[in-house]
Amino acid sequence: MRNSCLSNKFLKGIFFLYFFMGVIPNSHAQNVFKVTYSVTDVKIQGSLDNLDNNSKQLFEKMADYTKDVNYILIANQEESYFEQENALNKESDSPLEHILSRGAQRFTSFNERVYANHNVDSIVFVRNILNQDFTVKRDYFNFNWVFKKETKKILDFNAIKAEGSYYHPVTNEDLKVVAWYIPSIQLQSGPDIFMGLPGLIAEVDLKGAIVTIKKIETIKNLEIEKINDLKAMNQQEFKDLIKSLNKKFENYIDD
Amino acid sequence: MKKVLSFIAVFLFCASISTNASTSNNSPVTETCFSIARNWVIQTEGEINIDNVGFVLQLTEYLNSKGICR
Repeated sequence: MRNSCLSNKFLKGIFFLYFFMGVIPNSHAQNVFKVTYSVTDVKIQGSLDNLDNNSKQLFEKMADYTKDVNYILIANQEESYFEQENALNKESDSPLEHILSRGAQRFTSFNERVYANHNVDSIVFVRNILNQDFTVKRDYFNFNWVFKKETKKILDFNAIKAEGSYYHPVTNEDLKVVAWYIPSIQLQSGPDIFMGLPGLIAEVDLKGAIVTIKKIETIKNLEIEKINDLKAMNQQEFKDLIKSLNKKFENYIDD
Repeated sequence: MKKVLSFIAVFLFCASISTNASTSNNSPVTETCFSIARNWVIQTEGEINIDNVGFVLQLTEYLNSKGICR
């Protein structure tokens, strides 16, 4: 009887240790995805034939440089943070490197940084306009995603096509986007502002570039950076700012 | 906001210089760095707008530093 009691206590002790030292800490160790994207193709709106030889050479260098730039998305099911991989590492003091780096950003037209809270469908992004950073907090962009039947393999994952469109407030135009998402990775994140699909966005086909997943890692307890939004403009304030700047710009151009 | 407006002013100043140079009878055959940069951005992005005008100026500065245009 006494042996049985001791053995029960022993088992309870083991259970206690397992539960509190094993299960509980593990339940807090959340897997966070670190996704690396890069530009796989660049597009131009005009023609290279209209550029002189020096400009053509510079374009080729810029296109090559653009494909070497990585963009990092850190995400879990609740939130995500996206930015260009430590640009300062690539950007030396050389004027050529500097202009190549700046030119690379033009193809994707990505924001400097984007934070998304998927619980409340809101994003905070930092946009550089005329060499000044503006922080904006707003709802998700509305892409009106239309799901397609086409599928393709990206990094050995099955990806499904979706088409969307959205209004770009800075350039004041309606843009189309084709996205390929991976339903088996249940994150609603993607590069930059592109999100809201039932799976991680693996590729986006944009006006100026195609951006594709290069690597996916899962890292325990990786911190998801937030953007300080205390002084962020809201959607309407940003819209008004852009409208006013565009108006001034157009007036000057007309004059 | 002030900074942004002054940036637009710099851009427009450059634009006016470029326009004057290209319409002057005495201007050399070579294009200005600004017009090369402007053409570059128009060919790659389709138009000049407040989103890319900053890059036009950065590219102008770079081309100018290379001495291939003025």
